[in-house]
Amino acid sequence: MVPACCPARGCVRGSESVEGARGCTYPDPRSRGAGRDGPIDLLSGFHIGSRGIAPWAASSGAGLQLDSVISPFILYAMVALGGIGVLLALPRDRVSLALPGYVLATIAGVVVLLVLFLTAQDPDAGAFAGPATAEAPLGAAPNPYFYAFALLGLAAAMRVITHPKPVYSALYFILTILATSGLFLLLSAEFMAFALIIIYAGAILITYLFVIMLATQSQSEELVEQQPEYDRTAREPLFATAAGFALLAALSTMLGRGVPVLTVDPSAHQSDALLAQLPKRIENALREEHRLDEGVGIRPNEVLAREITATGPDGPFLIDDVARTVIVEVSTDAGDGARRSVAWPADLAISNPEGVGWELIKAHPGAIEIAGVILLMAMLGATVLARKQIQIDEDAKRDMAMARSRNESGTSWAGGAEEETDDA
Amino acid sequence: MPDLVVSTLAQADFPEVMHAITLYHYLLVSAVMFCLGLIGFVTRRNLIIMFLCTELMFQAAGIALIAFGRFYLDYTGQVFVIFVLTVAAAEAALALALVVLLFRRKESLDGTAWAVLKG
Repeated sequence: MVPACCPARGCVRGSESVEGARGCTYPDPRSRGAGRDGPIDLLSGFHIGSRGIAPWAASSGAGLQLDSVISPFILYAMVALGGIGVLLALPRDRVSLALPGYVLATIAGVVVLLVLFLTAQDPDAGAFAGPATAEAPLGAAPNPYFYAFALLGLAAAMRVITHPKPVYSALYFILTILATSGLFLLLSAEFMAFALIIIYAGAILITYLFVIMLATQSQSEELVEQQPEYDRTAREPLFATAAGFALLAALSTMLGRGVPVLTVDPSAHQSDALLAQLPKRIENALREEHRLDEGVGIRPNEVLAREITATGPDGPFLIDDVARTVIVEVSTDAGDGARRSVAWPADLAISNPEGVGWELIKAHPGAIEIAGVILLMAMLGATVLARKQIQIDEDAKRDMAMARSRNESGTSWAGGAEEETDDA
Repeated sequence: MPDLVVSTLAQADFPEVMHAITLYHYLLVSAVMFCLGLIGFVTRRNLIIMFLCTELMFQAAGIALIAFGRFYLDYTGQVFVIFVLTVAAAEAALALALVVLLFRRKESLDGTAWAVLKG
């Protein structure tokens, strides 16, 4: 067991040292009989050497393998099973095999997720979590929400591509989006989770639904047999499914290189340096702290102090993000009030939207402008593209109005003609 | 009650139950979703469903980007997903306008009906 350099802590960022052994050791898969002499040896092509691209591979020494999370046999068997399931579930003309297809694909998905669940490494114990034991209490059990969201999202994605009715496909896609935003929440990406729901489920998918309702013949299509032929049959399902799942098998193998564990608490690592650049944020937090408790925080007559330069106190704010303190001074006109050091509130950390917003504005301001231009062009393009037919509709309407007014009596004929000139 | 608020937000609590989830878990979900979208794009003949499948592939890319961003403790992945969303919205607007136009010409959403476009 090598006290490995933890990928998710200091080493990747290259600065701070590893804090404790938490989450920083991997069990060597070979020590549990899965090495080159074990039954996995037939597929030993997945063993990665210590010179892998992953930055932690060189320092850890122990080659981490795909089979430390899932056996390749199980993975490939289930990929094949899932492929057969999708193949059966794709819409076909005569006899519908959708139900056995769904069953097969669900079995494949559940087995893969179950194996991932049971063999997942617990970074605390450095061993396999499994059911709750004395060493690994329930709090350290694998995260059940991930598996729920993953299964839900993938099942809905499968319904999207196999359902013969477009409206249902779009609705299942909304379910996929909701499950995906659940995964984003688990990844501490709260802003993107809600932005995804608002933009995708709220705007894009509604546009899709409108177009589906606009562009679908409006018979009573309750039965699948009454659907148009292009919705009832798939195009070359065998080759497409085989190619897609071969790609999936290759991808899932390649993704197993390194099998790195995610950092348990992301907020403890990245926020302080960022916070030092946001003096107003610190000041507000300290004032709020003072409002709740008189003894701490900034008093109302104090402000954040600036560094004293040749021209007076107009340098940068005196914020120490390592010690988590800030210098404040009593607010005076001359800027020479009594200074003292105040510690940040213990729970002061950058929130996800603040971090995303800072990164967006600081590092990618040009990209925002380009994105705005792209959206404007798309709006103009969509308007121009969809516009032409409306002209024809207006002409048809005018013809209809004229025909109707001719059918009526002579007095209203003149009235109809007047209306027409008004329209023109 | 600042303590209560902090401890009920996802940022404070969810990482604690992040044990035993590796980057591989998320990348696998992303790969499966991408392949499903790919298969759907190739096999389905309805133009709208084909574009829906490209959106599915965008979703898969988003999951991978955010998982990598979480792994490297970097916001760039999330920022990139914002731009993916922008492109997806622009693509949806243009593609659906085209679909409406094509539907008016042939009264059909069949992709193979426009095979003449391949020249």
